Amino acid sequence: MEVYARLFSNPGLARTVWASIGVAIASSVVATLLGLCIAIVVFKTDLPFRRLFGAAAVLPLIIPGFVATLAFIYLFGRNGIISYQWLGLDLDIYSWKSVLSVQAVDFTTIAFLLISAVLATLDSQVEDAARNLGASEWKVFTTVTIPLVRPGIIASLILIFMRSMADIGTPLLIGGEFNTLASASYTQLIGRYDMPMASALNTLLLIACLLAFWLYLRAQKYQSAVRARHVAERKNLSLPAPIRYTFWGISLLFSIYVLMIIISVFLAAFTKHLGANYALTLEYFRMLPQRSLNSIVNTILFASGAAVAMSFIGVVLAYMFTRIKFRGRAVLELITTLPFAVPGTLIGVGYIMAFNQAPLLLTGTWMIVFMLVLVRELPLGLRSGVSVLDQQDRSIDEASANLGASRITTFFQIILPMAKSALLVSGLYAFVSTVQTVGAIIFVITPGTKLLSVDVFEAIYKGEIGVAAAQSVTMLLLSAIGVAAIYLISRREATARWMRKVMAQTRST
Amino acid sequence: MDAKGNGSDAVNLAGLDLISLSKSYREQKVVRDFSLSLIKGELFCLLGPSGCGKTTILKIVAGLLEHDGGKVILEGQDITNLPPQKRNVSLVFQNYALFPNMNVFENVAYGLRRRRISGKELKRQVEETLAFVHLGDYGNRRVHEISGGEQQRVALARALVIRPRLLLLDEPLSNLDARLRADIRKEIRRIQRELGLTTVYVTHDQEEAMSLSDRIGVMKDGRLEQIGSPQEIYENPSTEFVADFIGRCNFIGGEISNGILSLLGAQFHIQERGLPQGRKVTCSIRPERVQIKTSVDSELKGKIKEAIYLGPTVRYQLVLEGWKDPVELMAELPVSQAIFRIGDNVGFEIKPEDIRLFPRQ
Repeated sequence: MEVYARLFSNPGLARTVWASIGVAIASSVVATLLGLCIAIVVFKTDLPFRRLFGAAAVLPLIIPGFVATLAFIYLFGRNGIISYQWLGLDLDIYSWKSVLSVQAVDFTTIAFLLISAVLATLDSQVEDAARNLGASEWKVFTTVTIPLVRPGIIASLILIFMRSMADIGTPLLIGGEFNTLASASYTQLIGRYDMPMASALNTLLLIACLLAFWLYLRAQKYQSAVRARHVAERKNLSLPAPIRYTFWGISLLFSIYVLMIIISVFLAAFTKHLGANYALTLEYFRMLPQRSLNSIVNTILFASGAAVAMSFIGVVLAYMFTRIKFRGRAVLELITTLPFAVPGTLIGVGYIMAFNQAPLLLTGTWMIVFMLVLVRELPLGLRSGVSVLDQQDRSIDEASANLGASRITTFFQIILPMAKSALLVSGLYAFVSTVQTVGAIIFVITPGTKLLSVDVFEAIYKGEIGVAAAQSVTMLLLSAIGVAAIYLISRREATARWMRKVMAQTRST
Repeated sequence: MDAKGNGSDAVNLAGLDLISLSKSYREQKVVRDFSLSLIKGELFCLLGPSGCGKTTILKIVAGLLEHDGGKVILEGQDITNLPPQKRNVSLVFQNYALFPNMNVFENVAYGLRRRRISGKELKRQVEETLAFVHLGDYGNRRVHEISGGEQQRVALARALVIRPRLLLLDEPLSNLDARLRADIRKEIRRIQRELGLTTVYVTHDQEEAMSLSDRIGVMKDGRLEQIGSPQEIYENPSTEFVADFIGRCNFIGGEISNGILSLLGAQFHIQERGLPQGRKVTCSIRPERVQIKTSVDSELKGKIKEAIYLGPTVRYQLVLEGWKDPVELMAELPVSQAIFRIGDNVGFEIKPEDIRLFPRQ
């Protein structure tokens, strides 16, 4: 208890609590608005480039948060391409504003995905009904479309809040004086070895996240009621021109920014010194093998392992949770979704404490890192599995049982093939996010089990911009290869059809 | 010997026996003490408004829903505790529930594969069944590429190919248009007769039930109101609900004393029915049993308020004046006799044997 007294009597740390929450709220609001804006343009209009906007909105998925931070520094830093070279400004970017900007862009993907998932299944007949009753397009938008998309918006607000609270990389790298609970706990632990204070900060963080998670679970309950059961017909909205073009403009700016992030990282990796010497060089890549070979191999192994294990376990659990009644189901469900709410840093510290003793002496082994990754990603696999199985008509399972199939046969013959697309997506997501994770891993990492993401993080921290950029490019490529590999391996007819469907959705009609 | 012979005969005739099934969701009782016996090869319709528990019963019989009490006996064998995949009872789902990840052939083959049939035998049986439902060339089609009527026939083929002991159909025509409905109805009846399949058919459409069934069970609130042939149900509804649900009916209040029914100011002798004396009753009269006459000197008089042309018949709405609240009556006449116009004053006649009496609620 006295540690909390110490915490709140220290004005710097006390401010951290409120600043942390404030920035998290702001970035969740901004990211959600951005995501909503792009989702509307992509799914509800026929404006030009909307397909590209859709792609740009999901692109940050393969850009790790701190790579975006790095790019932000390249673009707007003291020697930044835009701020200094072009506009001649001398900006001090190390503040909460930068944290907010970087996070908002990074998390827009989450908002876009959540909101477009609802938009894509929204039955346009309801909108037609409103038109038929005399509503203008604007009225249709505000009284029908938006309320129907609300579950997605709410989920996005809450999830982004949690992600922002738990984000450790961005504030450490670009926050300057500004600290969040997560980053403060890291500096307290690693910098000052003040374990009680780190725990206290983590506990506050955990409370905030659990509260948000509780809200999220409550919001989820209402969501299923709104969704159309059948495959809905989708129709565009013809919103008033000023609004349409404002949305379009915002989407365009966002897409350009995402593109600039990637270009600047590539520039930094392949030129001598960004901003001063643009001579092409492979110097930083030549340093890679000796600096990070081990990490690259580990990253690939862990990410593929996590992808396969997580997507399979996710669907099995999802099947159990949605189809089979058994004792303790609710408890198990909560336990498997909880890592979603618990910030990575806390899980990391928890793992060190849990696996530091005799029967489970795992600290310092690769097992602990892998388990950590798996547990972190499981809720996502579970959620995507559950969302598919929930939408699936139960009578299909029943038909299978009726025709003589046991539960196991039904699972392998019907459930697994039908959940394949979800499996693919969650596997892909697990791979990509394992490539990028820092939060929890940074606590349990040892020289023997280094990962690329941690290398990049350390390189940026030390100011080795070129090396960090080269490592980031490797990560980007790994993520991209991961996406391509999973797509190719399972490139059977059904998957191709699913991919086409997704593309068609982005293309809109 | 005799007793044994009779016994095995009884078993041979036994189709499906449901013995006091019950099922509640939370507080609400969906099926209450439901019993029913089907003979082998019979097509039985469960008819009732939505929410009356029809589908629940089908799912209990198929083993897809746990019930609270009662037994399911199939051809003399108690299958109450058998898991769904061991029952050999085929259910055709309302929305067909075709496997979207398989083509037509694989959908139909699914049940056979579960029975470890493969190779040529599997191919032969699937193709035979597809031909049987007139989908001979459809094996390679994907299920979302074919029309609703075709999907319906795939669902039927999938259910039939495993040679079930019992066929269950859950509103199989509700997603089809009227024309197709009539065609597939005929088709279902043909298949069912040819294979001699014991069948339970669930519907809320009384016309469908009337035209299809050997017997109909009318359901209300999880209970059977009446069981009988289509004709019995139409001619002799046992409750007001059945009379109202099947076809159209006039419901008029009357009173009985000393074997005489007073109805609309006229007297009817109905002594032989043995109804309680001195009681208020509700009388139901089918519109086609009301005879309209040109002469206005009969006991019952009214004015034509509305005439609706229905093709083979014309439906008249009569108003009987001189009552506290004007009473209206429907009458349906063949077109050849429908010579009346709106505003005409007419007399009409009802035969005592066409009046059904129900205790007034």
